Amino acid sequence: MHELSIAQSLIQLACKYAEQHGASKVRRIQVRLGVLSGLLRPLYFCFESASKGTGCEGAVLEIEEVPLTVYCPRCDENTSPGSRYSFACPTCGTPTPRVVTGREMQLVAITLGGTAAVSLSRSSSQPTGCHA
Amino acid sequence: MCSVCGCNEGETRIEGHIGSQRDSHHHFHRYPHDHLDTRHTDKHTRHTGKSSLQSGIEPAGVEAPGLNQNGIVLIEQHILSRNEGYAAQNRQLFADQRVLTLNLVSSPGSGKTTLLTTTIEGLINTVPVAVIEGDQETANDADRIRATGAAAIQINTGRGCHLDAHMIGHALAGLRLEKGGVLFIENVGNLVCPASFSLGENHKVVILSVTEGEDKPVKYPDMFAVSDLMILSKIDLLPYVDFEVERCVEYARRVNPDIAVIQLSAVTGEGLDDWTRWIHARRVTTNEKLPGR
Repeated sequence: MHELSIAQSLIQLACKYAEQHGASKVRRIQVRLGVLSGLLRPLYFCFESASKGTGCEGAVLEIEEVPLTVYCPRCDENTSPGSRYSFACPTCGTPTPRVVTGREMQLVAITLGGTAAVSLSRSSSQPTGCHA
Repeated sequence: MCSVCGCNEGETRIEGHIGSQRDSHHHFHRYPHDHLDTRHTDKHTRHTGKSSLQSGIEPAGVEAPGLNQNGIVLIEQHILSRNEGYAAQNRQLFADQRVLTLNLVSSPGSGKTTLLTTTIEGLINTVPVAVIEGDQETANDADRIRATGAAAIQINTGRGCHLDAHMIGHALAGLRLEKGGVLFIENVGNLVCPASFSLGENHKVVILSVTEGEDKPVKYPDMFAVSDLMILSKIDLLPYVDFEVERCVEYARRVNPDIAVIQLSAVTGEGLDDWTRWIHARRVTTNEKLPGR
């Protein structure tokens, strides 16, 4: 159920940025998740309930999944192992713990709704209704 | 939600300290524990009366980013940056105190607390030891630890399935950390969720008992991928269970080629010396890495 904590963290972060830009709503949230995060389905599953009553309620969640890439010291290049937890070079079989991509868990961007979509104001003295 | 600083602690309770919905909720932050938004920080400043708390400067390095004409704000920030910010504060406190902090993770029933009490009995005459215990309910484990003479504090997470760095920050305020000591954090028994949340520890140590099955590292790869040491516990039971140690180690190294492995039994004492030596070696390397050494 840590995906719920992660969904809540995502919503808090998105709401905070929306508030900083004077927006009361977030219309779209773009997220980048590495396959090793294991969060793709759980996050979709949790997002709707976690966002209820916050400025992110009703927002579209877009997730870009980043594949696993590891660095092989023997071939001296980045390669993509076949499966999620196979940290070995698919060419020569050398085990490698050096993950280049696949651990990402980033909030990339939000699209503002509410007041800011119209005014594009950069700050607000009145905090809006994000209570995540 | 905490009525003082607004932190959302949910059902978390720290011994002697009810974490939610009480006006008398006290914050024991003994180091600048600035919350990650300005409203929080302002409330903290009023609450503590300390002007040294940073206002609007955020440990995770948040800046107001640009906004384009389509109402899109580019952020590019780790989703758990808030937890990472608290973890960085904890890490700094551990470094200042030259304390080695080990985050012990496992499934429920792996023998973490038994191993911990046995380990403490072997260490406590030469090294200061403190323990933070995480469980959903009861203070039973902290009571067991205190019986060894070590300082201990219990965090009850309620329905929460893991400890996070913010809970640790609160617990640290009620726990005496002696310079050069070892802090063990016994996480909630769970092989999934604690993998994602840094507490500011120096190392995660995953404990797997031989009664659980040798394929746990590939069934729950995240935890083994983020741990620096795997302890195979209860090896006195190996004659009675179907568990191939070599295969288990091979599975663990498939998800984490660098993971160290120690086999031990807290009941017979076999392998405990290896574990104690590992701890002492990490104390040395941790202090060598610190600036000024």
